[in-house]
Amino acid sequence: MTTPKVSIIMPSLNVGPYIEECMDSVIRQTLTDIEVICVDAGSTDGTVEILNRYAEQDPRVRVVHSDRKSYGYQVNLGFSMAQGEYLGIVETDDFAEPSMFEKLYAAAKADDLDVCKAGFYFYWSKPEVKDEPSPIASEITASRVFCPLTDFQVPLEQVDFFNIKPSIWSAIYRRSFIEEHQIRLNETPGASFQDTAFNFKVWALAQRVRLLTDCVLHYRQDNEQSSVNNPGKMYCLCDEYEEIDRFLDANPVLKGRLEGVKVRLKYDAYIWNCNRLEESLRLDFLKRASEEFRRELDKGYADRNYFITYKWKCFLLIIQDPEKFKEKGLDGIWAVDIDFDEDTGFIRLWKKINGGIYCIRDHGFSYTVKLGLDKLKEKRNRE
Amino acid sequence: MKSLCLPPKISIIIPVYNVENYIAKCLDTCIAQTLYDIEIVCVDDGSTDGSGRILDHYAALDNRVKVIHKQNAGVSAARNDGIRASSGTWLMFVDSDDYLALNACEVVWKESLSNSSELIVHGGYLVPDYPKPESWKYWGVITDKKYYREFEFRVLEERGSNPFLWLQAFRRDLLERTGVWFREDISFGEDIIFQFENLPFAKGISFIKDRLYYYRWYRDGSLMKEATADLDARTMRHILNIGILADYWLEHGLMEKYGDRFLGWAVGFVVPDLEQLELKDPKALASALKETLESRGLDKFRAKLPRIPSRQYRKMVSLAKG
Repeated sequence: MTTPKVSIIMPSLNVGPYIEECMDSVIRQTLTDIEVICVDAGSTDGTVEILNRYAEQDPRVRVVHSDRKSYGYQVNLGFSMAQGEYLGIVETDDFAEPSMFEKLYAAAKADDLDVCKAGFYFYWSKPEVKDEPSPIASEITASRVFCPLTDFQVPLEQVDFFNIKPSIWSAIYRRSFIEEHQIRLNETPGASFQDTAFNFKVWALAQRVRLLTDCVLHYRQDNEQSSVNNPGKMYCLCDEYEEIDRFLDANPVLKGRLEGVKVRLKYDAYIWNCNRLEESLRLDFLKRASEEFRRELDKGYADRNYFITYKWKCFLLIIQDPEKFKEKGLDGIWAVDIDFDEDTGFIRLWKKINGGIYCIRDHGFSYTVKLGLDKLKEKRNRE
Repeated sequence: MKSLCLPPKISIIIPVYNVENYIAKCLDTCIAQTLYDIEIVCVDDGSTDGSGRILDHYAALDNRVKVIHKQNAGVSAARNDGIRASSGTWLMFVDSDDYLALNACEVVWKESLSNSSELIVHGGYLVPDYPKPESWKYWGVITDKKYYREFEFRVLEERGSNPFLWLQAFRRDLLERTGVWFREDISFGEDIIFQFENLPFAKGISFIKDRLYYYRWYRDGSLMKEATADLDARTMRHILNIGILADYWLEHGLMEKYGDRFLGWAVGFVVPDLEQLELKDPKALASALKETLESRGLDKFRAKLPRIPSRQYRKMVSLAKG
């Protein structure tokens, strides 16, 4: 048996309404040399029967039963059984563009890539069909092979790269790369952001990555059961960041380079999580975030170079006073007062006096007083 | 189908005309920028020396460099072509004999993330620093840290806001909204016109202290050229430009609010030249300025002028009388 070019792992759990559209899009890929591994975690709504039907009709499709209801465990199971040169994941409520794997595989092969990743569409089927493209790269970024760990000179550009939506399913990964580093998903129950740590590990370890400008997959936004719409799993993200901490502790070489990025990613993820929580739960979550951020700051891992100004101020505000942060409205440019005049104390006073003297010389005394009063009024209005 | 992709973060636009001795340094600093996701658009405005060849060489070296060759049509047309051919979210204009600090794009991009501004003004240096530059140039490239949520006239009096175009990074949205680019029929002072036409509509203007640009304030021979240039014609050009600007500001309703400040700026811009430069015919120029201002009805703001502009206005009137 020859190895297939791509193994597609498809974790499923009660996705009856969507599974046929999804399976059709995968078996009709223009890249035909593929292997499809459906890992079902005990669906009760007929999903398994539909999968079995596909498996009978198409020898490339295999159905595997997972005894644990964990998105991470399901994908890992698929990884361990896969034979293909590259690994891909398709979630069973999404569906792929026909040329998805052909494009990804061609690019991966041409540049000998560890990871090749493309953009996707946000997809709604109700109330009306809406398909919003979400590209992840400019033509310029897409024209180059990156090592995300070392190839960025600008801290914020590295953050940008790590911060690309953790759409682990719009990419393919070289199997030998995944196996060499034993990269696996966190096996926490259900579907609860296990992509976060996986994505971080992949970016931290990959040597050759290229992004594509195309959008290749339709990411469904209106499945109520999907984890994104479930506020119950409030602290799952924290588990993911603990996993990232364990990973960094085990890889001291990476730790030095990536702690700053990690703290920034954590901040963004926590703010995002906080925004989707109900009002009543937010404060508890922010208190937890506050403790964790304080620890990062104490240890010297938080680095303001990885933050933009107002986010850094928000970060400090959460540490000092999560309640005040909540009142101010979550993470916006104006959530914190930014002082745009950097000079303080004596130098500032000196500048003011100096300016006054020049103004009196140039424009006369009454004009200066009027100008000063105007400025004061303006300042009071703003406050 | 047009391929979907994100725009590059910054487009650097460089009009190039006969600068074979300087262009390499300029492009070296552009492609060595710490920020990677940028695009460099060079518009070869019909150079007759080796500049075009050097550009092609760099385009082959780095796929972020785009080159447009065209017939000579002036720097404004070249910049407009550059804007049209670029796709970046931010636009920076660099002159082909100057160069950038290596972190220029990084700092501008970082600032753009921190504040929701549409215009970012940074500082610069003058090179070479010998002989000593004139003081207005020396101070003109040093900026203070300031932020304006919306336009006030004070923005235009801030150091760095004019006349040096290359100290400013523009968000593409701003230029698309105002729809005014460089006026191709004007070859001198086109940058000031560009600034006065676009800045009033910017939502959010940041001034930052970082000095990111190296301005070659004279080249071999060009210092001499400036000294012997036709001063009368130059001053006349300034006066005509003021007329163009006044028309634009009247049309867009900016004069009601800023009429007195505009008048003060206009006389402060030209009258010192009338007094200090050795002009052939200051009387004609002064009456041209007076005529320009009065025909736009700006003389009604005269009473509101502060002391110095008011004195300059009187000086203009007396010069015009002869």
